[in-house]
Amino acid sequence: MEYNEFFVQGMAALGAGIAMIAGIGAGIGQGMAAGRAAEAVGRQPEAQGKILTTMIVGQAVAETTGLYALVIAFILIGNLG
Amino acid sequence: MNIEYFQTWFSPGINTSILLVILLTFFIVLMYQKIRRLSPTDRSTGVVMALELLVDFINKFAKEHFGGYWKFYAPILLTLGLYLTFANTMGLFGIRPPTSSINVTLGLSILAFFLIQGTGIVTKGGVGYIKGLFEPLPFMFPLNVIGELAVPISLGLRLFGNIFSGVIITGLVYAALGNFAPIITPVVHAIFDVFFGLIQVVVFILLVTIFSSNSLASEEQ
Repeated sequence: MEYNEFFVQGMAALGAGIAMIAGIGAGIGQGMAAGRAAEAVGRQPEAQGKILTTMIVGQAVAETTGLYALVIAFILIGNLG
Repeated sequence: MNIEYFQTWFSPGINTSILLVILLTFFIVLMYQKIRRLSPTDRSTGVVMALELLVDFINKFAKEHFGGYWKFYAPILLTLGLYLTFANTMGLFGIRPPTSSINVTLGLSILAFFLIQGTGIVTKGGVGYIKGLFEPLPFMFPLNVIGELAVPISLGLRLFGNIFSGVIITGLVYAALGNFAPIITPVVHAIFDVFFGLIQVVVFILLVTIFSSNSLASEEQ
C-alpha cells in the first residue's frame, strides 16, 4: 500500500464521517429530554411554559457533544483542500 | 489604502462584528438622547417602552442570580444579549453571521472567562480563590484548573458549532435548489437563523450567569 497524499485525504474524509457518529448520542439525549417534557406537560399542563424553556435549554446543552464532533469533522474536511 | 487591505487584515467574522457594534452603538446613543428628554411622569410608548421592559427583565434576572452584586452584572448581560441577538440573526439580512467565525465566539468566551474568574477573585479574595482550587482534596488541583479552562472553551465552541452548522446547511440548500431555492429557504432561515440563533442567545447568557454566580463567595448569596 502506498501512503501518498490521496491516501491521507481519503482517510480524513472517512474520519470526518466516523466522527459524526457522535450525533447518535446527542439525538438520543434530546429525544429523551423531549419525551420527559411531554410526560411532565401531561401531568401538569399549567406549567407548560416553564417546562418548555427548561427542555429547550437542556437540549441545547446536550447538543454540545454532537457539535464538538461537528467541529472535528470540519477540521478534518479542511485538510481535503 | 484600498478595501482589499481591510478584507485580508480582518478575518471574515470580525468585519461584520465591527459593523454590528458600530450600528448598536449608534442605536444606543440615539435612544439615550431620546430617553434623556422624557419626563419621568409621562407614560412611555413605542420603542422606549420595549426597552424599559427589557431592562426591567434583565435587572430582575440579575437580582435573582447575583443578589447584592446585580448592578455590576445586569449591563454586561444586556450588552451580551443585544449583541448576540443581532449577531445570530444576521443571516436574515444576507450577511454571514459574525458568530459563525470561531474568532468571534472564542473572543466572547475569553470575556466570559475573565468575568467568571474575576467574580471569584474579587468576592473570595486572592487567597480564598486559590484555596478554592484545592477543594475538596489537594490532589484535585489539576482537575479543577482544567475544569475552569474547559468552561469558556465549551461556551465558545457551542455557539460557533450551532451557528456555523446553520450557515453550512442553509448554503447547501441554496446550492442544491438553484433558482427554486426561495420556495424552501424561508423555512430554513426561520429554523436556523431565528429559532436556533435565539435559543443560543438564551443558553449563552444563562450559562455565563450560572457559572459566575457559582463562583461568587457562598456567604454573600
